[in-house]
Amino acid sequence: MNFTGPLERVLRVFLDDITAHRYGYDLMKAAKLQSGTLYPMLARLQDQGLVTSEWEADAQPGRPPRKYYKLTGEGARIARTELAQAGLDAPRTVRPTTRPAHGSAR
Amino acid sequence: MTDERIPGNPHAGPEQSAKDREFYLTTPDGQRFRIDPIPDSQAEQLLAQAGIARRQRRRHAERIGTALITLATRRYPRHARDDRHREFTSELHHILTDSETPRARATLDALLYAADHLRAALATRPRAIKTPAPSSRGASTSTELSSLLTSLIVFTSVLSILAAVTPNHGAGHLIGAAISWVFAAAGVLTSGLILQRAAIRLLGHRTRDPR
Repeated sequence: MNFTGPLERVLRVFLDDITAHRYGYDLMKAAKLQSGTLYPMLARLQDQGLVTSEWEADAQPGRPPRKYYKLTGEGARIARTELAQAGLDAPRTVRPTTRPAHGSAR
Repeated sequence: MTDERIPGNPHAGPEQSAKDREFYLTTPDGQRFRIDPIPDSQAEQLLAQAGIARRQRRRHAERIGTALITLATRRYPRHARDDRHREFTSELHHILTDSETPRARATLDALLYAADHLRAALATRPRAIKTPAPSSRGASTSTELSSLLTSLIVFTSVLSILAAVTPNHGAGHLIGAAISWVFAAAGVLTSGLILQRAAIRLLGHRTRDPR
């Protein structure tokens, strides 16, 4: 899985409430992503079996049913691992390189 | 002394009666305008018209959004196209009719939602265009030569036709003109083919998505 910033945000939103079914616009707002970024990502996650989707069963009359997304068990496990790994990697990437002070002995 | 100012009009004076406050508006420079109350029947009509206008605006936004989504989903694989179209248009409808969002904001959100689908679809498409292979020098020279030859044929054909249609020329010129027309047609066809080849070589060609 190519772990990018937007993907990290989406996974974090899913992991906030792992049992929740979330529709696309809700995910867009929560992850602060545009539709053109989010939906291809959801499709990829779905192809990899990390996310499942289902149509709203009890849609209100006169309103079209929404599609809901949810992390699978495997998806949740991988998401946690990846986020933990990202958390470990993050300080390493931002840590400033320490240089010996000017004139100090090596 | 109580300060009886009209809410929203801090310049209204205290001399106005309770009745006046309902139907008069005092401007900052002291001018007073009478505002006739709207009869109940007319108010209902106006509200209904406002509702219709609002619904029409929403319908227009939904139509534009759906058109954008249709364009975007055309670029999706065939097996996923209908499902995506259904999902996106459904979401578009929900964004537009979200009661918690102000209407103008909802309309803007919905249009941006649809437009970004199209943006993403257009942005991913160029990957399907094959990168043209660099043309060799020999191929380029042969194209130049054939273009020159075609241009010469067309030029001489046009000259022959012009000579044939001038007055006081015999029937032989008519035969010459007919042959020239054939040459001209062949020249145009050949140059068209050459141009097409050159365009493909220069721009690459779009691969048809078999999915």
